[in-house]
Order: sequence, then structure tokens, then C-alpha cells
Amino acid sequence: MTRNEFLAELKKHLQSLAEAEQEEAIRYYEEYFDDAGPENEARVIEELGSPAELARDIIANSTFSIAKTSAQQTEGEAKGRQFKRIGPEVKQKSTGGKALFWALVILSSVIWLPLLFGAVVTVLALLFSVIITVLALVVSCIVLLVGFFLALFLGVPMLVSSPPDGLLLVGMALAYLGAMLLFGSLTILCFKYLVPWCWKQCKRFFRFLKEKCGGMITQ
Amino acid sequence: MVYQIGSALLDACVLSVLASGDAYGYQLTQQIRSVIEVSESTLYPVLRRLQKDGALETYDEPFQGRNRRYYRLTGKGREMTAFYRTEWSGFKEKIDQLLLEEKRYDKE
Repeated sequence: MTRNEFLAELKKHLQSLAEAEQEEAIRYYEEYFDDAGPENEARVIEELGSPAELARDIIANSTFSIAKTSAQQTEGEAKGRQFKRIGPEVKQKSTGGKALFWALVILSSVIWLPLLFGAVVTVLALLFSVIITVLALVVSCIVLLVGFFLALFLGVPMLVSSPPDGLLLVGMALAYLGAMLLFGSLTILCFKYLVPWCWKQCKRFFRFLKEKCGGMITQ
Repeated sequence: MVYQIGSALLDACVLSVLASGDAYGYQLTQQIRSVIEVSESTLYPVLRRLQKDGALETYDEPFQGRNRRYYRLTGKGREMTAFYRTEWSGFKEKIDQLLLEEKRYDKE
């Protein structure tokens, strides 16, 4: 058997896999032959064994992923044999199962699409309201600070020229200062706790969505 | 070799070799074969599975007018390598106890 015959035979036996998966495997072995060099071609072909057997291994591994629990890890060899046995059954299930899965996804989109949309919009709305609240606090702090200085600068000279107006303005200035300190400490609290918390929750939510969707698609 | 290398151990070997540097398929196979007996056909399914699990990623590098596909560990791959390494030291110690330390049982 030559290299090209081997690869053609392998491709034939990989038909049940997705196109991209087949190409990936063929590409790998093509490259493997290239790297081994023509002088090793015969040895590599002999070592690789029958294309049918190799294809079965590839198919078994493409649908079967080793669970990363320590209990299962010790059964390595038992699993090695299992691969070969479950191989052909798994591949039939996977092609039918995939089509069924996507059909269900599309059919049920009437239900999950609005739900997903609602969830995303709710989270974004909550985030937006937090941003607006914090922004409002910051802006009122600035306005109160400006008001404080303005009233102070106008009021202090007036204490002499017109004591009642002056007193009123200075009093207003102090009231602004008090309000500013109140809002200011609220703002600091927001930046210290509320904002990082919201950020974390949002990140968690979108990571959760990504994992769920990603996990479903790769299955 | 009398002892068989199971799939978890093979995963660990591939990950650990890649931890010391990226490699292309043939190179990786030869590196592992220089130490243990594995067939040339064993590694592709392992690499593909690890890649699907997100432990490996690939990139192409031109070489003599064609592309070579290199494998590289991802962050998850590094975590898995660390995990397999600690698992291995524990496992090795236990087997050593059974196989090499005869006197432990004489006393008890």
C-alpha cells in the first residue's frame, strides 16, 4: 500500500464524521508522512496498521472525551478497549443525534429566544440603572461643591454690606457642604462596593450564557 | 514493555511534552516514542480530543513550501498538566509502596 492509497482508504472509513473533522485527520496524517520523509513511508504505513482500525480509533475519540475524574483515570486500559467496542455505535448515534438536537433547538427557539432576550435585557437594564445612579451621585456632588464655593464667595463679603443676606448665603453654603459630604460618601461607597459587585455579577452572567451555549454547540 | 499506558496517562504524557515546548505531530510522536512504546497511530486521536477539550490549540508555520501544524498548550492545558503531574506523583508513590518496599509488610 502506498501513502496515497492509505490516505484514500482512511478517508473512506471516516465518512461518518463531519467534513471538517475528516479533513483535519487526513491533513494530520498527510503532514505526518511529509515529516517522516519518503524513506520512512513504508515503515509508517506498517506502523499505522489498517486504515479501518485507525479510522475507528479516530471516530471513537471524536465523540468520547475522557472524564477528568480521578476515579475514571485509573481505568485507562479498560477504557482503551472500550473505545473500540463503542466506536461504531457511538458514531451512528452522533450523526442522528446532532441533526435531532439542532432541529429541537430551532423548534424550541419560539420559547427560549424571548426568554434569553428577556434575561439579557433585564441584566442590561439593571446595569444601566446602576450606572445612571452612580452618575447622578457624581454630578450632584460636583454641583453641590460649585454651589458651596459660589455661596461662600458671595456671602462672606455680604456679611459686612448686608448682614442678613450674607448670613443666608453662608448658611446655604454650609447646607450645600453638608449635602455634598453626604452624597460624596454615598458615591465612595458605590464605587467601593456596588460597582465592583455589579461588574462581577454581569461577568458571571455572560460567562454562564457562553458556557451553556458553547457547551451545547460542541456536544 | 509489560505495562500498558492507558488513555489518561497518554494524555498526561502529551500535555507534559507540550509543556516544555510547542511541537508538530511527527515531532511530538518521536519525542514520546523516544521514551515509551506507543504506536504511530495513537497520538492523533489523543491530540484531537485534547484540542476539543480546550487543552490544546494549533497554529500553522510554513516549512519547505507547506504548512506544519504546531500544537500548543492553552491555559486549561497547563492546569490539566499540573493536575496530572500531582496525580502521577501520588499514584507513583502508591505503586512504589506495593512493588518496591517489601519490608513494610514483614513488620505488620
